[in-house]
Amino acid sequence: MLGKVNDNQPTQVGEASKTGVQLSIEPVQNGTTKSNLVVKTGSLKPKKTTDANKFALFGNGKRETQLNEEFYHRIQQEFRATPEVGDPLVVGITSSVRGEGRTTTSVGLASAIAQSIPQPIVLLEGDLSRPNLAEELGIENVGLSEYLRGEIPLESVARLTALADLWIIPAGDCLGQDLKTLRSERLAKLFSYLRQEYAAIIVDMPPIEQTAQAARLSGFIDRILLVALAGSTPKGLIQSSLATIPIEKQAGVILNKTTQNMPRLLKNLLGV
Amino acid sequence: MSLPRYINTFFRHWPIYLYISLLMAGLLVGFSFTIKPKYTTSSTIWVEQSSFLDSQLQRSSSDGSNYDSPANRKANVLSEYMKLRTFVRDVIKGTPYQVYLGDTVKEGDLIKDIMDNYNIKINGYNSFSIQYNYNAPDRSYDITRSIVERFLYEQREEIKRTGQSTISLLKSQIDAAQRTKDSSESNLKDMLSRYPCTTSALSQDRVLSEEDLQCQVLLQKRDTANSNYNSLVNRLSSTEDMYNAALDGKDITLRVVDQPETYEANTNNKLTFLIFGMGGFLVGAVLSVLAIVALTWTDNTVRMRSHAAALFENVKTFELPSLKTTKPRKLRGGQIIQSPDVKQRMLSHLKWAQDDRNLDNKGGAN
Repeated sequence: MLGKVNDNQPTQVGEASKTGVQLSIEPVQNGTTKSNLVVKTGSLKPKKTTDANKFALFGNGKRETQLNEEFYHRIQQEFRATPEVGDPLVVGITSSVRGEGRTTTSVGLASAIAQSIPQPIVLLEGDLSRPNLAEELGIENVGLSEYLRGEIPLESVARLTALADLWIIPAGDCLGQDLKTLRSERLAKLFSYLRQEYAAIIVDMPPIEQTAQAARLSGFIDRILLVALAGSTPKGLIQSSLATIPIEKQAGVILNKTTQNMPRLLKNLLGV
Repeated sequence: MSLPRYINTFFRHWPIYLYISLLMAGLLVGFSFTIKPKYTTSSTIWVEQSSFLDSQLQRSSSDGSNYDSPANRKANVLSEYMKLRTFVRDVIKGTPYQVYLGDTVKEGDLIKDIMDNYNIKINGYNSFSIQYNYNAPDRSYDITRSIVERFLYEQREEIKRTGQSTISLLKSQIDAAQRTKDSSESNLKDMLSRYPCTTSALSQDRVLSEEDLQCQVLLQKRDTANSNYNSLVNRLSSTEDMYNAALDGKDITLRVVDQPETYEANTNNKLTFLIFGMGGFLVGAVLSVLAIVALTWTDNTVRMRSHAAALFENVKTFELPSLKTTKPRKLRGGQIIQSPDVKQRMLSHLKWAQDDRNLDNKGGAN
């Protein structure tokens, strides 16, 4: 059930909530995967939620997330150690085609940053044509599309997760008009708002080779990470995708799901 | 193409390569059981010292410029015989396999097999051995026996062919020698009637007269004629013996000292299995290496960070290893049981998140 948003009475909850609106996720009842979005206003204390739903970020049983926290932390450290509010890190995570672990990587990286720095972090789902973050997390798919169409206000677009300081913006329902929705002038406003309010903005971008949305979003992103599925994505496709990304925005290539076949001793010997 | 990629390809599917190698080893060991053992039959022939007829035969078969040992000479003759299809056909006629003769394919195969699998070995000055290998002991024995018999037969026939003319030649030479001998005897008698010279008188230390010298020459001529005559008579006797023996189906210049005997070659033993097993494993390993090379060459994806770093030189590369977690078990009711490690992680994160939230709340209240 979507509650009514009161824009005129902003409420701050904790460090992360500077929007005046506290969003949390209702517990999953009786094993259902869909939860209700509850808007809380005027309260300093967040609504108490049950353990089962709070951990929805890391999987609700549908995706038994392979928590690769250590490696996400490594990526985050190699990438940029300490972003701050006012000098935010805007990173886009994209891939050549779908199914390469883009969303998982986005969630992992965002949670790693959120655990590393005491600053608010937001994860924006930019793949409007095939949103899956909300479904993965078991929440209602309301967010970016609705905001860009002017159906919800800016302040209520982000929702806090169980992890402190990690906020998410689901893609929402674009009503089959993903590119048209993204052409909204509100997108620029959204990014300037996010840059002011968050230390790091992680954008789960659409696949760069398959959609035109990625090009639209990349204009608002500082650095873009390309996810490639190890042993699956052809070399030529990765190179082609890299060529699509402007050089100054190329942050790197994340080789996802690499398998550690070689014995450690041999790896050390070969220096790989 | 870097070595780590090939090694990585190997470690990606190493049990498969091991199975391939073991399979090939097993196949070849199995194959080794199907191999029939080889049997070798050997027979040794003794060659007598060259006789007059033999030397005549040698002279007729070659220019005689190079003198070989008797064994070598006969071995060469046999070797030449074995290159003749006619001779090999005659060998086959002396075996139970004569039924193959007339069948173009079987006859051809058998002739080729005999020509390919015989072996002649010179043992020394007077003896040589003939060997034949085959995977059936009976056939090995029959062929070897027949080769020996046929060779002796051919030699006898050669003696028969050449013997008559040799005996005629010797007889004519003996006649000539007889005449020479008679003539020298007659001349010596005439001389002795005119001038009584004796061998003892010639040896005395005195001045020799012309008659003495003539007498001495006549004596020498008589001795030489006698010697030549006797030698020819002996040769004739020997040749007639050989000829008569050949007519009786014998050859006194060649005899079989070791009758054909068959023995099994070293096959189907542990060493053979070991060799085949190791060979098979090696073949499997080579096939595996070829498969690894082919797989790596045809792999147009990126699997290792080092490979990615080499491909995309100016771009930072990161890797997210695939973590293997236990798959959730499904109960009958459809309830999913989380694997222990993931569940533990979830609870741990939950605890920390809750603690953070509690701290925030306390701070807010204060």
